[in-house]
Amino acid sequence: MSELSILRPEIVLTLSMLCIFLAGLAIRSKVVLGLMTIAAAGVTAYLVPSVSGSGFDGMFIADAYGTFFKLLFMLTLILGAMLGIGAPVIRERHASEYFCLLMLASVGMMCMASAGDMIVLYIGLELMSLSVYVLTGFHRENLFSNEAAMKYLLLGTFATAILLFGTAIVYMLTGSTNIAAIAAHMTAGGNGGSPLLMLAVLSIVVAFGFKVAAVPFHMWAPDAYHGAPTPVTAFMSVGPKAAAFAAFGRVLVDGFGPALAVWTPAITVLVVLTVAGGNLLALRQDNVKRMLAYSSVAHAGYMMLGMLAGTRVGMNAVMTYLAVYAFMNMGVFAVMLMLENGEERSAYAGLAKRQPLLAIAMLIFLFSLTGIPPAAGFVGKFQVFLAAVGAGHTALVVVAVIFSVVSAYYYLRLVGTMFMSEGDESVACSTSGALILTVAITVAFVLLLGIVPSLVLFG
Amino acid sequence: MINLFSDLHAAPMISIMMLVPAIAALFLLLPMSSRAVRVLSLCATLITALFSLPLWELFDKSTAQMQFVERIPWVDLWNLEYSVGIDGISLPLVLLTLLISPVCVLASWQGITTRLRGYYACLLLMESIMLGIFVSLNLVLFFFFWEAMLVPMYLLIGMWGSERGRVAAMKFLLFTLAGSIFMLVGIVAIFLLGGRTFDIAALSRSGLAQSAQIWLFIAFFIGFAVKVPVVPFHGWQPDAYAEAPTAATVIMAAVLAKMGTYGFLRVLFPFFPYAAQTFLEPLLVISLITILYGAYCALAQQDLKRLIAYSSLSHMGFILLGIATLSSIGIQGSIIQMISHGVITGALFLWIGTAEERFKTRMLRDFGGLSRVVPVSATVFTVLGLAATGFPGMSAFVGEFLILSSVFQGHLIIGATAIFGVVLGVVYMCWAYYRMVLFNPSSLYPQGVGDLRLREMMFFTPLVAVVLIVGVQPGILLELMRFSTDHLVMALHSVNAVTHVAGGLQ
Repeated sequence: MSELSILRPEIVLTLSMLCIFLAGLAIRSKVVLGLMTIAAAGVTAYLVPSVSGSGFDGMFIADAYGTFFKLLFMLTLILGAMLGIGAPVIRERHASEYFCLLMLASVGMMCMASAGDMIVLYIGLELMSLSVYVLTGFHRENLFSNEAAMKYLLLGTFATAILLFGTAIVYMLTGSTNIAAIAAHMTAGGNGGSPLLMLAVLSIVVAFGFKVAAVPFHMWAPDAYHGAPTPVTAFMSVGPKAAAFAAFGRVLVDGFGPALAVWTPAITVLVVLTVAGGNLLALRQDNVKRMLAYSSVAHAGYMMLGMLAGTRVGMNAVMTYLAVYAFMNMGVFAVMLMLENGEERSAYAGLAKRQPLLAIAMLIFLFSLTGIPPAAGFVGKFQVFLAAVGAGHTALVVVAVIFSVVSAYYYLRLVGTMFMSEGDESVACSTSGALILTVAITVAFVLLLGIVPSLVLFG
Repeated sequence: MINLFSDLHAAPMISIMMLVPAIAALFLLLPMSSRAVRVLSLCATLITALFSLPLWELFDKSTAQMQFVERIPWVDLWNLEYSVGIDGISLPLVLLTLLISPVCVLASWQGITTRLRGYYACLLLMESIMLGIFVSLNLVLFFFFWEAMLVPMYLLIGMWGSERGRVAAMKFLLFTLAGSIFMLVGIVAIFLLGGRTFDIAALSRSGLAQSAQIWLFIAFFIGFAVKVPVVPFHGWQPDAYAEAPTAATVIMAAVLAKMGTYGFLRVLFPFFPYAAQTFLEPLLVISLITILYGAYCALAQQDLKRLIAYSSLSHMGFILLGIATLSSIGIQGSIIQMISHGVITGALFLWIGTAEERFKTRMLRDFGGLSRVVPVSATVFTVLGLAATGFPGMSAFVGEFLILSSVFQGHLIIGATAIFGVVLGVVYMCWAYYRMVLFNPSSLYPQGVGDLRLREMMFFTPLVAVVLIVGVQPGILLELMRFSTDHLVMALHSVNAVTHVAGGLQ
């Protein structure tokens, strides 16, 4: 029983999910169900720091690293629920399904963050992915949404199959799927330079690349992000991405850390392609939602830069980046939800005149995404660059910063649309309290974290 | 006077000075009448300007130490403090900022009629940020302000500029960002190489390896050179200066350009003395090219604002030339020239603003005979034009004289060529003067054009006064900075001596 106690947060969240699912049969109110979800997430977040240790023969680890990610997942869950409450695209009669799937995905993500074993990682990944596939197709009358879900499902399954393949080879080489055992084997110098090890690690990197949407494994991302209902897009651009970094951080940095030379070249290539591809493709997008999809691809590239250090210090930088990214990306999507037809560029024309405060909030998010202080995005970039330059990847950092100038162009073109052009006065703006609150919270944190970075720095 | 301010030594004076405009900008979020917006902004900038009195009185001129220093722990992981302070190099620039800001508010009094609250909020934020750059004592804070400046400036140029303002704003932003990201990589690298600190004073003593100095010098140089700007990094400048609203142009020419040259003095040379010595000749040549190219392009301009923009480019070349001599005289001349250029170019852009409000044009060919139409305005232009050409008795003469005299010691050919820049400067100013003030009056002038009003005289008077006072009595500025520049040059050369010995031993 004592081993079960380290699963307390996950168990509580799962049980709450079941309760809300049952409650959904009787209660049709989005607000009530949403508040229940937020309460459940709050309780879980409260429990998370109170458990520590590892159990089930090291398969499940509750440590500071996992705690950070779980708190981040609860944050995205709460913000995702708030977006769901405010967004008309989530219908009242499907509300309980939306919230339950969000929570289920979060449970999967929590398992990934605590995975001490490739099998737990796989289970968590599948739980998360299956929930998110359904969420992507949540707008079921919309063909575009269906197509996105189908694409995501097919490519995602492909990726998990590759992950399983890699895991199987690792098991063959090391005799274990436990990450600590793999690390011990690698430290002992086993299989150094063997082609099979190379194949196994590459398979894992490919699966990872799929999950964080790194170029060239990003093909699903723009369509899935674009087709999914916007609250889901906001959620999946942050939560699952963070979960993938959490899990693969454990595998690559902890497990294959001693075999750094095997996987860093692959990640280096991914970083260059992702930062270049994501930013250059975003440049060409007219649709704001699609542009943000590509921008989210590019941000994964910056995060991988931190991972390249191959140490926990590097992962700390990734965690900082993710924390900051969660607020600014959720904020951007919240603003998009507030505007009628917010996916189209035309909805933003002259926004500064119609809704000055909303325009200022969007301005702060976009400057934060560009990485300009005092917005928090700068802190994330700075921390990642410190880690990467510290590990000797200076040239790569130079490439990354050059493309961040490219990103400035497409982010600030939107600022230009909001502040410097005349627009249609009749574009409606949502008055949903949940959305306004989301924007207010995220803006406050983007500024707070930019000025007091210590809150999200881990050393 | 002394007694009046002596209690202020303990107060966090610099932080309060930086906060006043920013807080006023926050108040502008509240709805209020346009008159209230203008009055509030003017009061905020004037109150901030009042801080110049205690700064001037309490500043100890007999030391190169940082003064009025405030240190608060900020980010432990980065070993970083919030640290601000002022020395003889930054004090003149802080005073310049304090002078220019209320002038900019006054200059926008009638020209800006739309979205007033946003406009003045941007102006006030700019003042806080500019002060922040000149008082930062660590690289992160410096970079923080350096980048934060982009936001209000981008909005000012794009929203209140002319029709092509949006393009110019984007160009300005991308150029500056492209430069500063190299600086960002440099900051990250220097933190790791220089003993995990961002403190500017500590890094100036860190004595980096020679090969590292070369690379980091280039990274920081690009960042600063874009802002100055220096040819070939000047692509954004004529457009941004020409399309921005008057006050934004004044801020860019008077203060933002100085941020770049200040970066040379505060960061680039103290950090990388070996690299500075190595790149001495290329730096002098680049400055020379900037001087001549700017002046040459100014000759060809029809748009008055573009003409002054190019002349500003040329004058910034002189400032860099003085700095690049690495001599105390040259650097002192450059700092005087920074102040002088800030005031003169600022005033010239303001004058163009007043002319544009009256005649609805900036084209040289549309003007003529101003001395008969608006005699007072023409007189102001005469004074400013003379000042810009470096007429004796005016501040620019002092600056250029010190710079050129230090260049002639050791770089005869470069000094002789730079003189051509001065000559070209006289040529384009005289041409513009002849065309606008003396030529036949244009028949296209709108009816009932009035001469300068009281409000306009109010902002020209202090600027012209500074030009004359510094021109006649440069000692007031020189004695402020003497110890700081001597200290800087001594540090440069002592480190050089060490590296030379080390090089000899190898």
